[in-house]
Amino acid sequence: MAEPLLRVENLSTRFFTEEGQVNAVEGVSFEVEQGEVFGIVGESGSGKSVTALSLVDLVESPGRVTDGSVWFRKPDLAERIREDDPEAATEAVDGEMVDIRQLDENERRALRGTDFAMIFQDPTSSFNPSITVGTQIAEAVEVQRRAEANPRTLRSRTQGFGLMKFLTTSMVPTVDYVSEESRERAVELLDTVGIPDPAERATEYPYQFSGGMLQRAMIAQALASEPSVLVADEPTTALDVTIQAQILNTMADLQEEYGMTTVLITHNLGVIARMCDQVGVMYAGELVERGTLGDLFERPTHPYTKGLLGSSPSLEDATKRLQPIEGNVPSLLDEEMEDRCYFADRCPKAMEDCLQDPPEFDADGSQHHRAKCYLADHGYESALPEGYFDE
Amino acid sequence: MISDRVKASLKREFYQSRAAQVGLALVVIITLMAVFAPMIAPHDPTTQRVGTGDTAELTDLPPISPVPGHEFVGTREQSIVNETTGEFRNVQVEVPANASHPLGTNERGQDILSRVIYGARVSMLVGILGAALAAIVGVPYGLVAGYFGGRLDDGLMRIGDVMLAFPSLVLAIALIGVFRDSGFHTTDLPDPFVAAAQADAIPNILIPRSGHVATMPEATTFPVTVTLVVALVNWVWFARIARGEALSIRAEEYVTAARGLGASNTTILRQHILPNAITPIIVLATIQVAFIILLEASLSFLGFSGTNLTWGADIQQGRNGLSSGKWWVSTMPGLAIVLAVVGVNLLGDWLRDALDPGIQGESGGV
Amino acid sequence: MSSDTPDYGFTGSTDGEDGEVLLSVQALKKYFDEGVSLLDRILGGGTNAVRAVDGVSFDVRRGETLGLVGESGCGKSTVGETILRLQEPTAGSVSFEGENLSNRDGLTEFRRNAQILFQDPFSSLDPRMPVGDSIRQPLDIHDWPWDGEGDETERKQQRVEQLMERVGLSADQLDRYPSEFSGGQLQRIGIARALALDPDFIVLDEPTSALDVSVQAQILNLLADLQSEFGLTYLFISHDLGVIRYICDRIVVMYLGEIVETAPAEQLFTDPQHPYTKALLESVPRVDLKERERDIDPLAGDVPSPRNPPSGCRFRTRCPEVIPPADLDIDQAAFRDIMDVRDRVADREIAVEKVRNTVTEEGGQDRPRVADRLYDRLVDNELPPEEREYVREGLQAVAAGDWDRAGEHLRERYESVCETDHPTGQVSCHLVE
Repeated sequence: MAEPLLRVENLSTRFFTEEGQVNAVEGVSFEVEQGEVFGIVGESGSGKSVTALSLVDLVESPGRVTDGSVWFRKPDLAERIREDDPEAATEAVDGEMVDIRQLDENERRALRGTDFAMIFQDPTSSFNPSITVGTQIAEAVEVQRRAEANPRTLRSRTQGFGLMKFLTTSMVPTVDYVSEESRERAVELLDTVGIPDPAERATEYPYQFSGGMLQRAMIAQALASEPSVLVADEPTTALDVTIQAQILNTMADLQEEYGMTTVLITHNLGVIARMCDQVGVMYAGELVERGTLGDLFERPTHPYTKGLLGSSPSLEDATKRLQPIEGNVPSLLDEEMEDRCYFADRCPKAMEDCLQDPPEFDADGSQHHRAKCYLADHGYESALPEGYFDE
Repeated sequence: MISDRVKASLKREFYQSRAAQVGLALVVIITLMAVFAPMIAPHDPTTQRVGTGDTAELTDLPPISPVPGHEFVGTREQSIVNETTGEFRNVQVEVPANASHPLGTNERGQDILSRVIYGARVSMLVGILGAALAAIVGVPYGLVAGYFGGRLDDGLMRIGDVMLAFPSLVLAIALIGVFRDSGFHTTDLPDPFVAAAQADAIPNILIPRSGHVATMPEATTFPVTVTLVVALVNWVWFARIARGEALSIRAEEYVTAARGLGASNTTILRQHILPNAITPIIVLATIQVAFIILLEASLSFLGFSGTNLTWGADIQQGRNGLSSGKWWVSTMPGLAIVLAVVGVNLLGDWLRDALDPGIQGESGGV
Repeated sequence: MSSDTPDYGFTGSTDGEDGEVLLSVQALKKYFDEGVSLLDRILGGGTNAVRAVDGVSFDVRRGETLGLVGESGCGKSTVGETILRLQEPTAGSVSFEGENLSNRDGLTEFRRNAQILFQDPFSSLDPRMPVGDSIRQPLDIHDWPWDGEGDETERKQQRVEQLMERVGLSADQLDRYPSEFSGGQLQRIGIARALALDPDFIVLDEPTSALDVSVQAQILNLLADLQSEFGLTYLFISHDLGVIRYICDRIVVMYLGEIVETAPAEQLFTDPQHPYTKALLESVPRVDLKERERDIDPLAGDVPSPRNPPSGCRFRTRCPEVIPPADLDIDQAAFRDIMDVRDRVADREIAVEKVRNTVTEEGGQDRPRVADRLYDRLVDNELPPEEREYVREGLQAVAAGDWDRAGEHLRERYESVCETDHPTGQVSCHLVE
């Protein structure tokens, strides 16, 4: 089996707030193959967005990634670390994989700008309102171009500049920094994401764009660095359904064209169904179930996944009564969390054992389909009365 | 009206912030000083001890630090005539100082500590009453303007803007000029402690040293005009804050919901708008108390307050002494003003930090 | 919580066409002219007002759930608020139980009978008021109990406790503040408050949009149970078609301030008539394994500004089925291109200067070359040669700066019935008439 492009192991992120420690992400592990779309679905407060931020190392104070590794396949970097620092390599390199979390700050920042790109839910706050959209995308292109020209140096804005040049560009942003080629590439990118009349739109400011158009522009900006991993955090949640359909189509086309690996965060099971190959379901900071789209939609194992599916109104069939999950999302405050299945108090099938920390089990005997629930384990299930598992 | 959550927030902020603790301590001390002035003050602040004999020596005493087992000693400048040449010469002579004048005395021989303690009465009264009066006028005015909006709002707030366009001190002086000859320029507030001590109505346990208290001034002169004027100068600030709050609160869905139920405008203003606007108003009120204490001090420094027993008037009185080495006469009441203003402002900061809903959000945006 | 509710499939309680009309909306309009300056008003007669709702008519029948669906900015929430007089209508009338509400006399009575539940549970309850007081508020305002029997305070307290328990919360929590509840719980409190006066009619304005899907299902089931228990009539406003399908008996679809289609729920979802309804339904991603293979052809472009809506049919600028003139033989994609060019000519939204400059830089400067360049930029699809020539002629006028002539030239040949005539009927489309 080929190594995956991304392997997340036991990732944990904590927020240290005045109220206490919040366990936003708790021991999350998953793998994403090259060219795949991995969807993370969950309700608000489930930690799905924080997981996305943790992947690209963008968690901000008072939050901190406290544990775990993010292995990323990058043979040239792995090779380089082995040459430069064999000692560190024993820890941080595994074959072609590199643990991003063990790299130093500069290396991580370099990866973030090039190999990893992120798009957010709210495009308006991701663009500088006083610079044209074209220039902002061209800047991202420029960063990538310089990085390619000079792979071993720090890929920051200052590279290739003298001090004076650095000062002028920082005082008058955009002056001199962006080359004509980068601007042309920016227009191409705007065209790729389906913005009509891109040459004209490139000269406009963010406020002149509608929400859907700006979301496309943000995708164009993310594409500028030709990333190998795109992390999309609720990219269509703020949009109307017809615009959402446009954006999802664009993303699917680009996915096909660039063979990009995508981690897609959403609360919308329809979006998951439309876009994803593999899916992880998050609840209370944990990945409670993961598997292929088929595994989750046709053979859901974790009671929470079942509840989520059962409570979504269907467009096709209005006759069945919705099966809500009773109760509310639990507190993620460390002091209020015990070592147990956090879903137990809402779970229709909770048992004694659930009040201990349940391990992850293979579901359906498949290594790819796993769930953090005693009922996922076949050996355990057989001990239950006949029909226990059916609705 | 104060929820447990607010109480918890006030408490947490108080324990965490040294500034809040200092502020509260200062304000409490000054307030206690003002209320119990006759019991605390070592002397009658108004008694003058000038003229001949022993009392002459009691003028312009410097502040001293008591040293155990020794007499209190200070220095004083004295003119000496050289008998042969007839020339005058200034020399420093040592004088026995009275231990009961720890902050010294002024040129009339009045005890400065006692004057500072009594001065707190006027400052705190004018500060608190002035701010309260300004709030009583400004808050409803602003709430109405903001809630109804439109032309009413435009009209009301233009009037407020005109008020703000005048420098507040100049406006205050002009207004005092108008009112000072009316009958209510100042009023004498009888001191209940002194009255009780004099009447021997209350046992000594409740009024310690009642013989001493009985010799204190029977009434405090309260500057009515100044209080009205500082309120008149400052109500606009309350109106503006209240208007801004009302403007944003009226757009809240719970206000729309109340209107949908058929609630009258008065009900909505009273039940929804005012309670939700109260936090910034309370914070503004504390800051206004400090501001008004300063304004009152400025007015009495300029001689407009109608009473001499205030910090501002005392600074004015000792002003000439500053150039001749008698620094304490002005400095002591000046320090009192600084402590009062700093204390009230720290208190305001504490309230703002604790009550600001932006800070006490839900569990950390996860 | 409400786990004791019987487990049955929710079905609407009307018998279709001939239910009694409870509420009737006639030609309702709501314009917002905020932001229109006095000068604009003098010069332009106030034409730039936002036409949030522009001539909307529908009936709500007793006992049914009428869905009002549309995308953001279509005016659906404004309709709800205008019906309840939270906004003053610009024109049109609303009648409740046959009585016109434009005179204010009946308003208090109406407000007792008609309630609203808002989208955001965190902002629709006063954060400084214990939730019990919020539920009691309607009782206080309308001097309940009207029979005047018993001790008023005690009866109110009982009523509030009873309501709180009916929506699945504990009466012990009445003196808590909204910040101590979750979104779903607050929405239950909102429902309790709406029920306090035993109303006939409730406007539900996106009541579950702020909630998570598992909690949303709780609230939808609660609303369905309450409807059958108390014989309530709902106007359910939402952008979520799945929710609308689940809870509504009849559905009104809105686009840019107007109604485009009204139909019974089943019919609307199985056989949508209006091109907008079709596109809307197609756009919703299904929770289904075959979703990835489903080919969606999403609507192009964005909703036009409600300050200056298109003439005729408002959907024509995005419609995939615009009707070409009868004598024109042209496929839809090509005609769409021509119509887009015409819209941009009308709005003068073509960067002629820029194109002219590039042409000049390349050494040419004649008008036909500018027109050619414009044509390449604006038209993606292959047009029949005849039409290509005609459009190019129009663009030459644009290149000459004569926008009016260009517009006139193109209109002559390509004017569609969709832009000249305003469609009417249950399905507001010329294709269906």
